[in-house]
Amino acid sequence: MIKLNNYKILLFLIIVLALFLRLVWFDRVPPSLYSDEVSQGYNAFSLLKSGADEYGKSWPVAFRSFGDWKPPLPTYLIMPGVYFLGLNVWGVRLPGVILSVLAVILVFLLVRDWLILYQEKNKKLLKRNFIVKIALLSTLFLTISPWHIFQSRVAMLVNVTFFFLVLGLWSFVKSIKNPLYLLLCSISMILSIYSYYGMRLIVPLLIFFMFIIYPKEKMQLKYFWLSLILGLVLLLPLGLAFFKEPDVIFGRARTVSIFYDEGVRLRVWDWISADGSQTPSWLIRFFHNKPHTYLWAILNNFFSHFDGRFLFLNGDRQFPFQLPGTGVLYLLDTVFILCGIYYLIRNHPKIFNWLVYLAGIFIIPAALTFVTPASNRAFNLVVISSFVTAVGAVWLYQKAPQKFKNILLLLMGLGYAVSTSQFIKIYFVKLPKLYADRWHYGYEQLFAKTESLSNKYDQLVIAGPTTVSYIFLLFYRQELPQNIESNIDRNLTADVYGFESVNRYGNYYFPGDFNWSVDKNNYNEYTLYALTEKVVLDRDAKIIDQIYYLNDQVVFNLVEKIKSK
Amino acid sequence: MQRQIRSNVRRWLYFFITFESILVRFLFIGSIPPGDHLLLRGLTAFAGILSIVFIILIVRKLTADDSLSLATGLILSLIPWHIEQSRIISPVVWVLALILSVFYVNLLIRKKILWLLSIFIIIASSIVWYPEALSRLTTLRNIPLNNLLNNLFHLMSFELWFFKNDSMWIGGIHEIGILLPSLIPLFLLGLIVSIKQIRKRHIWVIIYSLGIFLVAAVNPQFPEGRLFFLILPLAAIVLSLGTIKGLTEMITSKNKSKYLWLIYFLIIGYEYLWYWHFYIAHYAKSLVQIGKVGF
Repeated sequence: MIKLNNYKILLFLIIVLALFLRLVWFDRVPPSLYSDEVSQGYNAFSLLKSGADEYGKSWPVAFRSFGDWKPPLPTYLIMPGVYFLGLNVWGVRLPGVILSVLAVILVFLLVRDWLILYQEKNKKLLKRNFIVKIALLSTLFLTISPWHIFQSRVAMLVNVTFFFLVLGLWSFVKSIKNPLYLLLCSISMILSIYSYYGMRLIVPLLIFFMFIIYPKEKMQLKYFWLSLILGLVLLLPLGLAFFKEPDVIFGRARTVSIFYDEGVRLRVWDWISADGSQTPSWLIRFFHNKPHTYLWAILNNFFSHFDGRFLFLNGDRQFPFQLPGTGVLYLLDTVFILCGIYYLIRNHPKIFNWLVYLAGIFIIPAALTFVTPASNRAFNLVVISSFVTAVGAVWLYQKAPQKFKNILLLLMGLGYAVSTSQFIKIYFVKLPKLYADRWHYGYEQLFAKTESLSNKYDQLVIAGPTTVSYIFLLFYRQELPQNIESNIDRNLTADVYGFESVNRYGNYYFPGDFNWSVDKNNYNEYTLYALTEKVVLDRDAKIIDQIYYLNDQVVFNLVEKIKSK
Repeated sequence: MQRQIRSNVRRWLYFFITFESILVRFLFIGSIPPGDHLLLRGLTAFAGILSIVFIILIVRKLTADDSLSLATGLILSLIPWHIEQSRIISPVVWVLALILSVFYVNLLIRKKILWLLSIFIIIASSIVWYPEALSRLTTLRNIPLNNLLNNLFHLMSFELWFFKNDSMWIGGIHEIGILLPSLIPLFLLGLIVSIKQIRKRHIWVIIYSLGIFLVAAVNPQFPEGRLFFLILPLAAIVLSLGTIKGLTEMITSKNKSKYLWLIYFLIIGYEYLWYWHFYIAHYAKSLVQIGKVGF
């Protein structure tokens, strides 16, 4: 039996484990900074140096970046990291790690305080010991969760959002006894809006949910209005920026939104064409219309996040969030999640209903995009999965006959040890070796090499695996933001994915689709080309050096054109 | 909760469900979808109707709940996959009718030897109609665990159930799932009600379900196998539990949520109309285009 004073030791051990899993080989796994991380890091650096982002905008409420208009808070939170540790992988990723470990502690507090509150209102069943066990296990499952570990070790927006979301939920729970916490709740929720686009949909729905479940007899209107006003004041900068530039709110949403995708429109058109001219047009429109088809697609996207193949087997299909050979949760979690759902439905339907509502809210932003299931956009679900898994595990243990309890505990421990080990092997060994290409590996090595070769060449052409190679140049050369304006030639026309690019920076050129046989003639003979293996070379090309992935595959061929005699 | 209906009303409802099942399965059976072998199609349609009749009798016998039994029968008769399979030559419909009839006879007579004989008949018939079923089960240990799990999760997925039924690839309607998407809330509600009401004596339901899932998952032609069709009676029961709960909420609700329920049921109605338009207009055309009309 866990004594209440012992739980702090266990919690401490879990936090140490969380720190360990998130810091070990921190600079090597993932093997390189992704373009989004580099963009955030460089813009943080730019703010430190000049008080403006790479576009020269002072202290923006959204970073234009590649035309995806990143919410600002994660970049601002990277500033201390870059200031103290430098513009490198440590400076960029460490703030996120700290927030993720704090989030682990907050999950414990949230689960414990919420269940204590629930127990006081519903005298049924929940012993204090039971509550602490669930809280500790929720924390443990979050700590070892592939989903959470993955997002914690990279500087992605959702990791920052998760912290503020959990802080907001916890402070809401605390506010039921102490209404002052409503102010903290308000601040956290607004900060989460400044962290990730999806929260702009989630937070209003959460506020509605919180208002419904808040015990009306305890509500002190003074604090309610104060927190609302505080929230609106904090939102003012975003609101004002929106009037100047609507893309601040809608920029990224427009390009990833399901309404931007042609698939649905084409499907409707196919059906209309198949009906032919014999069917009356009103009937065709009645059956084949965009509202119904979009609703269908959104529902499909929504429920795809509950697909077992995504959760337990294959994970996300999108780079770089894909981890081959593992889902976002452990396969063993299925047993406890099913037990947890069963137990909650039969014994605590109120909790179950709340979790369903919360899960629904958390998935809505992902459902409105066209690439699903999306582990990053639905990342907030991990707190629910950890909780339900914990409930299931504790319930199963309580239900087991006394003589089998120790065996069950041993099996559970062994099962998770094996699962975690398998994940660690995939993440720490396989990922850097086999999937470095998904992490835009190679730019750091490339620019180190070109730096040493730059006096030999007038021009350097980079046709890399990403269309935003320029940001890696700015990052790894620690280019001063004051130099950007005079050196850069931007292409502000978004491509098919909604990303803007850069044609040139100084004597570095970044062509889009590079065809050697045609494009080699666009540059003088003192040009160094950094080309991927996809670019087909001819006899005019001489490979002078190569940059390799960790599995010895080529990232870049450094090529020069054989000079004509 | 047992909901009894007056016997004359009950008889009329039985008649309505049977008549509706006959109409839906026999009307234009030779042309929608286009094909020949009218006799075999007719037999399959008859087997489909038998399965509906027997599920009503079984549920009534087990629960003494008229509303539930009639709702289950009606829902089974309207499940898109059941309609599609009943209107073509589909041995799995005969297997389903056989399973349900044998189960019902056992409920009436309740002798152990009869149970054993029934299990033997069902397995033997399944092997006769699906000889590859035996070879699947004997090669179970050669199936990679990851493939098996992948298939199992596919069978449990919302995608298969509500958005894209990819069994019977050549002949099926892949634009919809086993059920229509608008039925998701009722299905989930039914699952919750089932979990709340499940008891130890319902273990046979779990064993039957697991068996169907396993047999379907080990199919080498997965996902193009139709044995998973045998799960439909249980799906119909779950859906009817949810529907009854939803209708009860709508009728007894004193506030505006009544109108939300009404709108919701209208949406279900619209989707069924959509389905019928798709089945009659698009499905037949697509089969003619790919040259598959002989089943």
